[in-house]
Amino acid sequence: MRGPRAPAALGIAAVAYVLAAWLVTPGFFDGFAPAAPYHWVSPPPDLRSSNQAPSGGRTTVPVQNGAAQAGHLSTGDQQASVAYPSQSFQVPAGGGPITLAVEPVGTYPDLGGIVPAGNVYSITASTPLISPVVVTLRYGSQQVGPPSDVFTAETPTSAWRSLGSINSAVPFTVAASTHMLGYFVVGFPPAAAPTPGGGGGAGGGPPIVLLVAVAAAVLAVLAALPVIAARRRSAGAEPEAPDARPAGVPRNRGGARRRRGRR
Amino acid sequence: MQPRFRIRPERLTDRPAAARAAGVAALALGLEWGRVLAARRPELALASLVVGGAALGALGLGFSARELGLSRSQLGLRLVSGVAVAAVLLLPALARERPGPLLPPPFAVAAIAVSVGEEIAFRGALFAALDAWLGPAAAIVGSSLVFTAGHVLSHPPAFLLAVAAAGVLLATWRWACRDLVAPIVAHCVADLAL
Repeated sequence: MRGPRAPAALGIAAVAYVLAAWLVTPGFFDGFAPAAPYHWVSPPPDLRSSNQAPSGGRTTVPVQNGAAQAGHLSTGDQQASVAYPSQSFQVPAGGGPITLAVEPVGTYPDLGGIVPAGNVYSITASTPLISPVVVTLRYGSQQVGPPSDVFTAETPTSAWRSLGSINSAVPFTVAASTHMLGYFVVGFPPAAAPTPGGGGGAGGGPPIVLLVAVAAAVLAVLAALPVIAARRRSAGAEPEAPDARPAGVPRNRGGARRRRGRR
Repeated sequence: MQPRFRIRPERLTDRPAAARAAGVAALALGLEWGRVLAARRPELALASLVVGGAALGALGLGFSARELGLSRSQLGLRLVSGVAVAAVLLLPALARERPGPLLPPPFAVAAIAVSVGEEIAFRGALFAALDAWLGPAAAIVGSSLVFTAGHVLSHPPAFLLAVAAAGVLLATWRWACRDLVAPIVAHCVADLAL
């Protein structure tokens, strides 16, 4: 019989959940987490042992009838991509193909206060752009929530500027439209940089997690009690299948119909 | 009266029940992994969520609404309870003021599809099959283990303990209240908020 054990079990499960969820941010996180750990050029100290080197990507943009064709280039680890409509690139004089490359880089213009949430990527093409392309960058860090902007610097001596963002169809990425190639990074503008101790950290240590665990247990039990009570009221003589059914005995699906027939 | 909340070893030899539970577990796991692998291709990300959620939900077709814990009885109360369970799932994030990523609208709809599908598959069909075979304790533990295994391809290892604990909490609710409506609501709200 469930009795008082049901609310007690729920309370214990709620406490266990809070303790487990406290170990990671933001806690229970279903289905939309990154497909794989982010591959850093310069990994944070706690990820150095497990980090894998990020990969680049290279493609040839075909030219047909004097126009560069549309396409899509992603790095091997899917962390950076470029989507280019047709006629995005200037066609070479001889009408030959165009080379497009995306590479993670460790040397780039000074970020000047921008807080990167991923690697800096260098995107280059053998001919200049003549219409915008969309750069999509996955982010690996969320110091104050998801990053908002893609930033770009055209040359090693250029200053960074924000490209803003456009709707990205892929979770954990930020996309932006650009007229120029060069260096790209996803991150936080200087004003949104995290302050020391900000963002919650571990949430204040054990006393807070215990308070949250108790609150979760109380909330779960209080939410369950009316449902359990209503269930018991409405159950009446209804058997609690499948528990009440002996092993090997099939469910009696016709019983209710026969009982109605007797009335 | 025989205590209900225990694993029933005498049922271990019930081959049809075992086969049914194993089949549902394998299907749920396969669909979840297939969905995650398909989502790694950017052009399939949205479709994999919607189709994967629908396929997971289809596992419930082999069970009655009552076996799944779905009922229109006291529906309002179950819905409100679902919001309360969602609050429990969100408490650790709320206490630390750490928002998760904002889902674009198409993915919000897809997140609901996956949440409903996962609940019907794991806390609905798989729970019912395990409960009928070995009892509720096995149903809670088994459905949570398979739910966690279903997330090993999509989550970094550090997240899996929280996934398992959420599975246990939702499965315990499913057992205690014989209700799947609240876990569905809670799962949807948590996915949208985190």
